[in-house]
Amino acid sequence: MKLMKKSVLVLLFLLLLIGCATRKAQQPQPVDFRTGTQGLYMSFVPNLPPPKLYDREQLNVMLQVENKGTETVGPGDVIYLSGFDTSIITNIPLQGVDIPTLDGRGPFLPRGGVDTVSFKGILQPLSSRRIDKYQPTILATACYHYETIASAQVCIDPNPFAPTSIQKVCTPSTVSTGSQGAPIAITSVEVEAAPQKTRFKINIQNVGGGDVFRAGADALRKCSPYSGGLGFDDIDFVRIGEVSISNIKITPSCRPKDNSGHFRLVNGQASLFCEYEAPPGQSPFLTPLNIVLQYGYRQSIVRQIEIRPVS
Amino acid sequence: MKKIVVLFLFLVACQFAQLPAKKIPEAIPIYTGTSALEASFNPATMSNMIMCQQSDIYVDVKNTGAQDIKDGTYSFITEDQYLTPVTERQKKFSLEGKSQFNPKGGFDQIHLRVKNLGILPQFETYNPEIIFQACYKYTTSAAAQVCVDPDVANLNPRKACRPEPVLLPNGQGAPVAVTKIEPYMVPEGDGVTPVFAIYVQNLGFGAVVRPEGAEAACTGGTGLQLLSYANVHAFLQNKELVCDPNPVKIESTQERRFICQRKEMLYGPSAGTFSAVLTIQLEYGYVNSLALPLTITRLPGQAPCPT
Amino acid sequence: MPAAPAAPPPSAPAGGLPGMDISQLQNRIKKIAARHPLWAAGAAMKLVGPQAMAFLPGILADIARFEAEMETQEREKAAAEERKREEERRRETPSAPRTPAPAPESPSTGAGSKLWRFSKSVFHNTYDLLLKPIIPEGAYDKILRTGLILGIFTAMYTVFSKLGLKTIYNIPISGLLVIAVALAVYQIAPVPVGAFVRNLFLVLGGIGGFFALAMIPSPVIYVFATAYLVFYVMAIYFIYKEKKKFAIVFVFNALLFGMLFTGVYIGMVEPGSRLHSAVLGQQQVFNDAYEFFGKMWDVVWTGTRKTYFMLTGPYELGVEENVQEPLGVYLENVARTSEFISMGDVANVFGDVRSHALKTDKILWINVDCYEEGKFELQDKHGEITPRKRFNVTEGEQVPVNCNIPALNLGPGSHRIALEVTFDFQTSSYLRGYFMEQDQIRAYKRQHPEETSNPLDSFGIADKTPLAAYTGGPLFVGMGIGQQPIPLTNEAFGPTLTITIDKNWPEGELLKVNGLNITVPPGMIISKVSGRDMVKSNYCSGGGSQEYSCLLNKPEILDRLFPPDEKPVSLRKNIRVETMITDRGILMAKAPLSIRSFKLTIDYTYRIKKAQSVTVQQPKTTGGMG
Repeated sequence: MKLMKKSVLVLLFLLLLIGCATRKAQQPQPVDFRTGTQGLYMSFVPNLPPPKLYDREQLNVMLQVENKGTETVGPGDVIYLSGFDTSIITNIPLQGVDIPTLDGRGPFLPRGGVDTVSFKGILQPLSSRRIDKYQPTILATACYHYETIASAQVCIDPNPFAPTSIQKVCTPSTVSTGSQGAPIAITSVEVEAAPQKTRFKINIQNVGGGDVFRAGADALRKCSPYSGGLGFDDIDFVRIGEVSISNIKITPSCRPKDNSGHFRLVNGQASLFCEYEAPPGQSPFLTPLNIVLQYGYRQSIVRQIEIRPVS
Repeated sequence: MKKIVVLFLFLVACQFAQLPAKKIPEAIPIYTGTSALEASFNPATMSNMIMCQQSDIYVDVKNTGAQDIKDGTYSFITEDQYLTPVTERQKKFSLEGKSQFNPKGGFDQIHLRVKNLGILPQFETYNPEIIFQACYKYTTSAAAQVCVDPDVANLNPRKACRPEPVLLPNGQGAPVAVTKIEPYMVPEGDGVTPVFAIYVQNLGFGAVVRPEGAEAACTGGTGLQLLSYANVHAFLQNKELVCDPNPVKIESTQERRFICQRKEMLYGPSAGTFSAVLTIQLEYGYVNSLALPLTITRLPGQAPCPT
Repeated sequence: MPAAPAAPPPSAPAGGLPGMDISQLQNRIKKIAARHPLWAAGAAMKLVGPQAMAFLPGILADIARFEAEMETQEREKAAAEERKREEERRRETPSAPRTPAPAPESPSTGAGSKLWRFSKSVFHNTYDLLLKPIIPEGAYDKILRTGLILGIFTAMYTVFSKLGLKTIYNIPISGLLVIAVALAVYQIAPVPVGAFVRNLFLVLGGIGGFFALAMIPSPVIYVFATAYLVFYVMAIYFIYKEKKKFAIVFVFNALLFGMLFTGVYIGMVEPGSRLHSAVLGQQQVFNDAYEFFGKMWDVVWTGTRKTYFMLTGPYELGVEENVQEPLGVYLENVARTSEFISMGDVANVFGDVRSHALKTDKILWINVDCYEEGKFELQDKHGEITPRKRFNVTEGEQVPVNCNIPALNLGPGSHRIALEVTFDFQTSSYLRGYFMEQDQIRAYKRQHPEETSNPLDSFGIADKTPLAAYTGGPLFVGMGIGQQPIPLTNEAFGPTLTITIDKNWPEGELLKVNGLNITVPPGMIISKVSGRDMVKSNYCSGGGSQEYSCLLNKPEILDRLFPPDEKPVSLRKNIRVETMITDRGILMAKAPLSIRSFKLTIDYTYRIKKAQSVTVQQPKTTGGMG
């Protein structure tokens, strides 16, 4: 009896010790948010529209939009609904519906803004047209501006071939940058050091799955399926917003670019060449290379529906 | 304790059992098939008869097409020197087509009574034929989804649809079927004019005649009425297209083609790429024929038929 | 074995036998003639002919062989005699050393030679005792020859007499044959005669062999005799080297068939004798073969003829109804009671008249007659028919008929007795026609330009080219209306119906057409029949909604279609019937297609005849020189 009591007491004491162990205070840490390959993510809300409906019903289309990138999507950005006979499905605005402002992900915002966009269409009777079935493919197209901001730690060596035996801090080499939370990604930066001049080859790729086009309101307007459409010289163009190193803008040195500062992606890829003249006499050093790209982006999703006449 | 455990397990199992799927009523396909009127001699028909006697001929008819037959004509052709009709050999008839409320279509039975006037002396048997003919007007209504795409340069790779030939292999619930539609986006100024090449063929077992010759085909008419032509009407977005040639010749051995378009229907870029329904109506007359061989037998020693 | 005649000296050939000693040759042949008389005679004949040089090596080889044989035989004979003497000596002296066993006797020195030696010894002894004193030296050969000639003559005469050859023919024939043999054997005739004789033997030998075979009392032997005939002719032709073989074959056949089929033998041969039976039997074989091949030929000819007419046209086709069950009247099992009758007897020919599958309501009358073929006009050549000359038959009846003609009416010799049945018969025929408006046909053809397209396809009609169907019987009735469907135009002219009448049975003939009834569908009339106007005639009736028929049974119209002097009616016959359309509405009955029939009924008299041979034998006369 005595022995049993003692055992219980020891057990209780051990439990207390474990339970009351001090814990370290957890402080919130900043998250590396510039990752990911998507900008705006769009999906049809389930059953809106339903797969089958009758011509006496209303066509309700609802899209859920989420900003999975790092930049804000907002005013001026539009979602359009197309692909159907406007004489059968009426009341859908051809000018589209504005995308509500959706903040992008941030250091302290792990998830971007989420909202919905709705369309209400009116179905015209089919039986009078002797149509027994209409199966259009509803295309939802989002047209929006976006930016890619990348920062890569590069090594600048003003005298890469100096005959010295001093230990260098760094050696100019290619830096892989991954994705930046935007559909256009800077995948890597190649550094080519030359005496007093360092060249950067910045590799860019369209990783978002959509179409990239020129930045600007004009091109954004052309993105509408009801417009003349984006031309050959609109599609696959990205504007160089800024390229700076050590707070020095080297944007003018970047090539190729046209008069409006845009360069073209070929097969979804491009390479931008920029130069930096390092002050002489400096020893190699690491410094961030900041790149900002601006562009418009188009993304589409489809949903097929079937409309039948009631009688 | 064990019983409780078993009961518990049983209840749990029931939770995971799948409930029967909800049955969603399916629409009955009306506008499919390549037949209109189907006729056959009923097995009760007396194909063997004794000389001088009467015989009843029964023909089962049913409308397995999507259209109603209104004011059709049927007719029996007999060898009048041997078989004389006792009941009417020619008459009008109507038969409902398939619908949601009558998915199998209307059916009826046609009766003819004939009497034998005798056969040649010294012949033991004689084998005449009775031919049943049904002649009626019919319409083929075809609706096909076509893509109107002003973006002929294909600048926008992501489109709701692309103009492609539409095959219609299953018919439209009528013997003359639209078998294929080929859309062409013909550039006109800044936009395009859709032009459709439509292929039609007689896939039924009867013969096509002009719609105005439908009755004459059973009652005897002039040749021109009996040519195989159909009148065509095509609509896109509720506007009638102009088709050429019209009327169109219909054949059973091969497809015939006609072109439909409307020059005023111009689709610019602002129309966007969309799918629309092209509806086609073909109006024609149709003739179904059926032959039944009879055998008239003279009994040994049978006297000639009284006149 | 009679004594071999002495070999006659070979007569010198025209050019001689160069390098040969004739007399030596002669002697050698003479020696051999004793054992081989026939060879010797043949050799002598060969050496006479123009081909003597060609035969000489063979003859010399034969001579050498025979001489060797004779030498061997002489040696064996001598050895046998020596052995005999030894035996006798041994018997007498038992202690004498035994000689080896004698060699076995050769067959030539067996029992036969004992008889020969005995006969010879008798002859020689008789000759020596009786004849030698009175017959001069050298006359022996001549006497032998004369005896031989007479012997052969007698033998031939006897044989031919037994066979049945009459004496008046027997003597010259036998004599001729003997003279020929003598000439040949004794080589006393000039060269051409020998060749003639040889050829004559070929001919007469063949005929003789033929009749010898035919005499064997078995019905089948006639077949062998006929086969022998064929092979004999082939043998002469292919084996005999003589250029005259064509002539030989010709003469052979001429003599033989002349004997068989010209009645020459009738006076020459005793009736009832075996030769007579052989001749008659062979006659019958040839007659039966002729009839058999004749029938086959008829069938082939009928088919060929039909095909020829179909190709050259017009010849309308038809299908016989119930062809598996032939319809009509038949004369069957025609036979005679006996082939040979005497003058006081009656020739009896009989048969069965059978009717089958008659579908007519009319009573069918059969007329029976019998007479000697080729002598129909002579009243006494007609026989008596029992039970009746005229009777009626119904379905399935079989009536036996007999014909009796007294042999006196027929006279001696072979006669063909015909048993004949004539009857009236009716054959019906119809042809289905499909009528369509020409516009409709053209519209269809425009839409279906392929060659094989037919507007009747759209009505589900399977038989688009119907053939006329006719009832079974002696006549074939084909009908044609041209291409179907029959197009109707705005004109009143209707289609032209062509009727073909031809024989349907290989036997019998069409004696007379009694009536033709042609029927066209309602809405049409018959305007002309083979160019003769029908509209204004009173042969036709009907019209309107009734069928329109023309009954042609008056002589004034029938005689134009079937000339009366043509008896039997020569077939085939084509009749063209032109029509007019009087009421289109009735014809088409407000339908896109009208199915109508054209009908024909023909009444006629048909004859079937079958014949049998009967021989009236003259009474047998006794033998002698007559």
